Amino acid sequence: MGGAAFIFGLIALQALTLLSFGLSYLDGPGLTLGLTLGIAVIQALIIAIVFMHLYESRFGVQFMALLTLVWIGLLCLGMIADVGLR
Amino acid sequence: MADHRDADAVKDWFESLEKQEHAARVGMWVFLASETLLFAALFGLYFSYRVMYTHDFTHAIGHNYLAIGTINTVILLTAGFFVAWAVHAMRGGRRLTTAFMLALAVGLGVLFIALKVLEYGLHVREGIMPGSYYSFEKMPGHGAQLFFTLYYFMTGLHLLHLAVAILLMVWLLVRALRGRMTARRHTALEMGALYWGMVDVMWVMLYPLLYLTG
Repeated sequence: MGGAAFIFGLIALQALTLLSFGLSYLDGPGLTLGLTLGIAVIQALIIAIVFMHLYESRFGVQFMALLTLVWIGLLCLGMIADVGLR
Repeated sequence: MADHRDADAVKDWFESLEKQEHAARVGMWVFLASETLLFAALFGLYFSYRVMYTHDFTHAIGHNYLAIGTINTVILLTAGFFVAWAVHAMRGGRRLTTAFMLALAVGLGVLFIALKVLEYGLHVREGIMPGSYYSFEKMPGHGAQLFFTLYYFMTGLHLLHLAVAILLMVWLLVRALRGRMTARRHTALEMGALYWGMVDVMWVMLYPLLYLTG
């Protein structure tokens, strides 16, 4: 992946930012929250894979990034369960 | 000469420069993972309170400065691009391009901080302060107070990380200008770029939570 990937990455990130901005004018905060958070996750993945060179990293590094996602998932699941069961 | 310098850069306990760099990369990702978990805990706290005070939170988000938040998002993502390009240029041995890209990233980072400070100033003028100092009469609810306390804590923590990232970039810029990095040996730059990437990731997650979902 060369310099073109960074340029496409930047264009995609800025386009997604504008899309999120536009979605903020939708009625219904719940729907907006779901959609804009989904876009934010896609943006985070673009940054990690392209800008942080995860695409070319060795398995050990990619595994560490994956493990982070698993830990965040567990943390969020625990919190959701705690709030939901009150 | 470059090969000799590369050989000097390898610590005794590593077989090669490649293995040393891989170890640095894994170590950096472990550090980034711990930082990410810190922010994830704050996101969890945010969602817990949002469930409890849904109306207050959406109302408070609507009062944030969407234009400033959006401009700052564009600024930070562009700065992230310049940092990534700086690494790309250094891999090709283009030292001056690297320095120029880092300088652009530093400039945008400083602009982000300036806009954020301006935003804090506008909030403070209205009495929107963290914790017990909160005195915004238009939104007296406990939920709004909690939202803005979390807002200050999360954006403040992010700002602190950004300030560290900017200082790192300035140090790397000086190293690049002094010729302390080569196409083969620039681990510090790669690590700095990873740190900047993490700061970007944190902000793209904060942006919808604090500005868009009101």
